[in-house]
Amino acid sequence: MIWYLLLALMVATGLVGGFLGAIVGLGGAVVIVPILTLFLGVPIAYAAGAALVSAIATSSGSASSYVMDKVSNIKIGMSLEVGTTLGAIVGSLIVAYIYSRNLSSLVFVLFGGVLLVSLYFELVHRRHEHYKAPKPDSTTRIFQMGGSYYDHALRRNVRYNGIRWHIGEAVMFFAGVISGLLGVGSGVMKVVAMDMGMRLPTKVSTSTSNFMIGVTAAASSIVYWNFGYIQPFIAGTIAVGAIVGAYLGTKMFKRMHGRTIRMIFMVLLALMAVQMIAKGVGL
Amino acid sequence: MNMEAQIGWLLRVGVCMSLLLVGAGMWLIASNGGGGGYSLAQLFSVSSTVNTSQYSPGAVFGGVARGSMDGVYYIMAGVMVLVLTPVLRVALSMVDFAYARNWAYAAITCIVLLDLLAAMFVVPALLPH
Repeated sequence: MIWYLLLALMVATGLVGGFLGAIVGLGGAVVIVPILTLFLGVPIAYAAGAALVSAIATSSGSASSYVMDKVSNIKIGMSLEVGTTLGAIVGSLIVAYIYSRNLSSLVFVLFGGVLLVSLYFELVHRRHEHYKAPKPDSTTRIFQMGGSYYDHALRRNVRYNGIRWHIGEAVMFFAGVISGLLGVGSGVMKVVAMDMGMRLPTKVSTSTSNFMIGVTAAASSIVYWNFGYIQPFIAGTIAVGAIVGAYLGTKMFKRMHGRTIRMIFMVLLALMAVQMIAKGVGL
Repeated sequence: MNMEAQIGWLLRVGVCMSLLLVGAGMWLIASNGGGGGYSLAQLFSVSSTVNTSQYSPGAVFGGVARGSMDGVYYIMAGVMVLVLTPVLRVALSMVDFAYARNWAYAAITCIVLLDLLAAMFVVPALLPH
């Protein structure tokens, strides 16, 4: 393929990934890997490497505004990153072993499966009910997990407590492993851990997760760098596109509340997930 | 400046710097017709053999520092800056927690930083090369 055509395709993939990821709420990486592997013939290791780099880019880009919003909780995020970074290292080492044994079809199947489960959680799990802060437990005090944020929709301050830190941390370890294995930010798993496990309000979980993805993906990409899974031209161009795409997606998402368009994109992603699995099992 | 503002600022500078580096690298490669001893077609291919395993972070830094006209260094540097931004962010948080005398969180943040440093220095040493 002519080089500038490929370059344009890569930037476009990043754009679409960042945009769709922001609208569906899954992050760009889960969109980028299927497009690169299924339609553009990029080896899955390079696709995962590029997706990781773009996950860092979008996290850093959005985290700067999230942090300013004071919705994300830096302490909770930081304490949970102990688990995600360790998990990310373990996951990247596992996938390196898988690639060295030429078992990349396994990664395709796993990717499809994780994508389907994430879509299911995104669809079902959006809690909009009234948040009630749970009674603090011992971990609330140890990890200083109380806080409050100003809710623009409710027009008041919402006080919250994080509880059951150990459950959150355990799930975070696995979120890290998935990140290293598949080259994604595993934001959905993080949100679920904080929402259901630690009983934090969804807004706090979502923005804290966004904030954490960068550090998790950095741990994975450092290991990926050494194994040579980062192809700088693919990763660089995809990241540039993803930043712009995520920015546009977030802007549009604030204005557009249509559920139909979101559903269409979710179905599209589900189809890609099925195709990943089909490719993995050799159909 | 408070901690949130510092972190937000650091993240934005990191992203902008890496965008500039990647852009500069692309431009150099396009105008030189290649880079790193490879042709354009070899560099911009989906299964290109040019990847991070051939370039140590030290070599990338050296290339940029001496103002090399080889675009590969700049693209690599852009990706490196992007990856290192969160690491710096963790380091900055650690200093901030220590400054606020929140020792529990200074220690927790130190563990996260150690995880990242282990990924950088310990993991590669353990791998057979």
